[in-house]
Order: sequence, then C-alpha cells, then structure tokens
Amino acid sequence: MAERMLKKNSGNLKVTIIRPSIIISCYEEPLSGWTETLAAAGGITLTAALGLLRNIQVDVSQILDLVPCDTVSNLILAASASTSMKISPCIELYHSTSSHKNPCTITMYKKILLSWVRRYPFYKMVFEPKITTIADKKLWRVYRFFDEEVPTKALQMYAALPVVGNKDLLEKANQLA
Amino acid sequence: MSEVDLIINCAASVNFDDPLLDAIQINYFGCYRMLELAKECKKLLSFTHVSTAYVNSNKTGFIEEKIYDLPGVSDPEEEIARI
Repeated sequence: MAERMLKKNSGNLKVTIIRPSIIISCYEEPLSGWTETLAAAGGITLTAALGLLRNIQVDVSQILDLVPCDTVSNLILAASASTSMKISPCIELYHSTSSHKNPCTITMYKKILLSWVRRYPFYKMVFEPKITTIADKKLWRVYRFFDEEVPTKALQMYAALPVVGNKDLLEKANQLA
Repeated sequence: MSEVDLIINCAASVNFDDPLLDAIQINYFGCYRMLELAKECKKLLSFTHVSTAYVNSNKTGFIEEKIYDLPGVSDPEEEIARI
C-alpha cells in the first residue's frame, strides 16, 4: 500500500524503493555474524544454536530467503546515490534477496547453521543443537512434547525433590520451561 | 530542512499480529508523513523507502522490480479511508 501511495503522490521527487527479504546478521561489516535484534531470522538462529529450538514445523522444499543486513544497507546507500544522479523525477525499485538462480533453501540454512555451531559452539549452550524439520503439524506437536516439554518438566520435578535437588537447579529448570 | 539532501525511511512494524489500524498508522501513514516532509525539503536528491520483498506475496513465480496493481483496488487512499 505504501509503495502504491508513493507512486501516486511522489510528485516531482526522486523516489527509491528497496525491497529486502528476511534479514539476517552481517556478512562482513562491521563484524561477521553481528546482530543487534532477535527479530526476523536472528531469533531462530540463536535459539537453534543454543539447542533450545529443536523441532520446526516447516516444508523443507520451500525457500528461506535470507539476506545479510550489511548487503541491504549497502544497497540502500548505493541505490540512493544512483537515484540522486538522475535528472528527472522517477521511481527506482531494487530487490535485495537471494536470487532466483541461487535461492537459499531451508535445508541449506539448516546445514550451514549446524556446521558452524559445531565448529564454534556456544559457551552457554543448553542442549546439543539438532534441528528436526517436520511438515505435518500434529506430528510436530508430538515431537515437541517428547523432545522439549517432557525433559524440562522432568528436570523441574527432579530439582524440586528434597534430597537430590537444590535451589539453583530449580531456577535453571524454571528458566528452561 | 533547507539543507537535507537524502531521506531514508526504514521504520516499520513487522509484528504481524498488531491491530490493523496500528499497523496502518505505522507502516502507511509513517511513510505518508515522511513524504510530506520530503516535499518541503528544497535540496532533496532522493527519498528512499525500505519496503519488503513480500509486498507482492499474492503473486507467484518471477516478480519484477516494478509496482504491481492490487486486484480490485484502484486507489490506495480510498481503500485506506474505507478501513
């Protein structure tokens, strides 16, 4: 809607529109893998790398169109500069996605993420990272119950036992749940 | 205002469960007001708006770098006023 409004009302302005897809942490500037927000793909990456997110309900044949945030910000600056060189008013559109020739698929994302996390594991890792992708929703719920809810509940109960458990363990168990 | 030469509008809300009116206020009128501001800048060279690749998610296949018309919507402002 906003794009169409821009097209209608831009008047004698030179307008640039950038269309990025799902933004993920930086490629090389200022640091590889740097991110500030857990929105978009950052949240999935972090929770999966910590071993908290283990079962995802997804169709693996789909494309997960990830693009590093410094690529997008570079394009914003370059495209703005390019548009400002134009003489007459215009609307310039640029896409910032993984291309249709070499799309980033969910399988690829999973493979790359797991290989890097195994090479550089987190200090505060909770479980060993393992991502299971399940297309069916009911099956996913079953997997999630046994893989995520049962262990945390069991740990909570164990920590609450008077002899073997202690307060620290109970706190940790509550954080997990 | 008399010296600005570039405006980049990349503010938006991506909470898909926001109330519709809030989402419109942020994502549509945010851009609209920035455009009004941009028109008052004398030296402005470019107004840059950061959208998303999923604006044409109702379409399938190859999507070009151009603005498509929404089916059944001739004027975006009328549609917004209706909501």
